[in-house]
Amino acid sequence: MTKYTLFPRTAFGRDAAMIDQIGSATLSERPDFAIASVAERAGQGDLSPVLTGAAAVAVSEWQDGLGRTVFWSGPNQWFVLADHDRSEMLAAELKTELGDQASVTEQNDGWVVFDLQGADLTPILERLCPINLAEFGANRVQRTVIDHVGCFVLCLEPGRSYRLLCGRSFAGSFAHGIKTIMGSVAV
Amino acid sequence: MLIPHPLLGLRDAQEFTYLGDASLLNRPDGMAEGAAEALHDYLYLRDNPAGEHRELWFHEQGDRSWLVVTRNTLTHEITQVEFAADVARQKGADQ
Repeated sequence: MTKYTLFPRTAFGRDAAMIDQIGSATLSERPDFAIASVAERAGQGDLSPVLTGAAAVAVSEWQDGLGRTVFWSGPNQWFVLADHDRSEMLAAELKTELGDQASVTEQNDGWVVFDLQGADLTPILERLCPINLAEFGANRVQRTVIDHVGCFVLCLEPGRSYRLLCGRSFAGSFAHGIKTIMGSVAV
Repeated sequence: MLIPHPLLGLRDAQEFTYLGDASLLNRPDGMAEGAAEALHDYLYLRDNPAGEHRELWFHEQGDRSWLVVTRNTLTHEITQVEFAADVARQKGADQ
């Protein structure tokens, strides 16, 4: 039997996911996602119905389907999140499905996923990023900047639940910036 | 300054980076006759209009698309915003 001597670490160099509660808000790392990005090759049309197995994904929105979350990241480009245990080879799976229609890039460990949850997150997010929260409803996604770090923000439930993605090497600074604001809002 | 992105609506100019004159899309053919002269002009000569100016902006902290923004350099009024890809494609079709 193979004896493994190397063990996976989270983006924070730990064995278990980072989770922190400050005031009524909780920031938790989600290492259980497999991530891939899909870019349509010229003239293939909208591929998002293939990715979700259902409807197309509109501009600046995300949708669930086929056990995945698909979100719009730019014209004819999407990010796909799936359960890491079930779809560790997500990029390879998508490449098999899409063939020459798209270029697929594996993003596991390229990005870190966080969940930000709480009773009222609007005062926190409005201090962190320039998103127009009044019109940022459920199923919306926006690429933006938090504490000088480029990131994606997905709205799961307005004011109460958001999913954030930032580059893996920024995880520490990104979480620090968010926790600082969580702390100052909680006071 | 707010830039009206063709897909995403009004976005703060802070999300964008500026490249310069949209004439940068018209790169001359490097293999053609007189290419050295054409590339010199392409690289070094720019108009510096006080008024309407077409320029390239990159939506870096957004959908990462290149835009051609028509802006009045005196008033900062933005009269037109197009995807640079569409402008280049149209130019190719016109030739």
